[in-house]
Amino acid sequence: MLPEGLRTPSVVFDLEWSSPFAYTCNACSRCCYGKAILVGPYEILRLARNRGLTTTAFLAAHVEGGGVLLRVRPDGGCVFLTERGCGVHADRPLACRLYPLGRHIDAEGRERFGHLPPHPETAGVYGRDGTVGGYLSAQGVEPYFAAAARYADLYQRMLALLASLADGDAEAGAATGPTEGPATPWLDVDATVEAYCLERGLPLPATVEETVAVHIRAVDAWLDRLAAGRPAA
Amino acid sequence: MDGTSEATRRDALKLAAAVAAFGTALGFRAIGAEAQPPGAATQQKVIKGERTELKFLKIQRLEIKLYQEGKFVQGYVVPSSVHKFFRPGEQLELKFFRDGKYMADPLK
Repeated sequence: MLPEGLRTPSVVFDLEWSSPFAYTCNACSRCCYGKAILVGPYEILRLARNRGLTTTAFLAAHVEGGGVLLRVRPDGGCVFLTERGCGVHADRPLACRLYPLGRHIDAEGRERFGHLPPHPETAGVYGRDGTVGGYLSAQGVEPYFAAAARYADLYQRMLALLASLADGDAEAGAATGPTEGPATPWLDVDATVEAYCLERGLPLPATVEETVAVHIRAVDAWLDRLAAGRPAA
Repeated sequence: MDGTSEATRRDALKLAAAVAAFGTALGFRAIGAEAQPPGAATQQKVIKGERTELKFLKIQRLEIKLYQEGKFVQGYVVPSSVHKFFRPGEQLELKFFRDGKYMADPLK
């Protein structure tokens, strides 16, 4: 589903929330080149609102790779990088907030962090006079972690239901699907929420957090229908 | 295939597409060739392609090597009079021609 040429840097995830860590970003923007930024529904919603767009319009304009990868400019720079730095800084994705760290949650739910390889000419300054937790809190990761956890629960429910509906053929077919446009309409938060509210005569949610809650309810309702064997929307 | 099983398969395919998309977006699915244990998730910046790595290199020697079925066939050294003009941030583009015609897809 993703374009070829992506690779995960080799990272040792050996840091905890309390581990000594400090990082001062000096806004050289070098980390904004040559990277693939994966975005989930919450990040797409935040970015779309930042740009004054619906998620439908945002996905069409700024996302590729089946609806999960931010587009980049021809020079490899992030599509939102401006001469004055990040053009969506208040709503930047989780991967950008974590940088220069990565976050790994193992199958038992243990959370660890690791150093990503820095750009050789980075202007960022590393230190040990703080903690990983302090650094991440200052980056405003909490609502992103919370949304990721809620969507992770939803994903696990999808996975379990898929196992009961089909063998591995279905997943293999989906994974090799087209990369133009979202691979699934459920990634389009605004369209999903609007259809759900319209069908039930509900008012549209006003905030990002309310929208996420309704989005998850809408996908859950779809999964309920699938689980019950009723025709899916 | 009867109507019910066809509907089930369609639903399963839709669900599989959703699983693939949400799994990738949330870091549950592996990027590149690295395996990700079931239930584990990784969230971080991912390196996109090899092209941009040229931005950080000072090229002292540039070779083009051809392989067939994994075996080295032939190599060419790009003259320094050519690669000395490369500057950080520039891109190297390879174009393939056959019988004087540009081939958009050299594998065909």
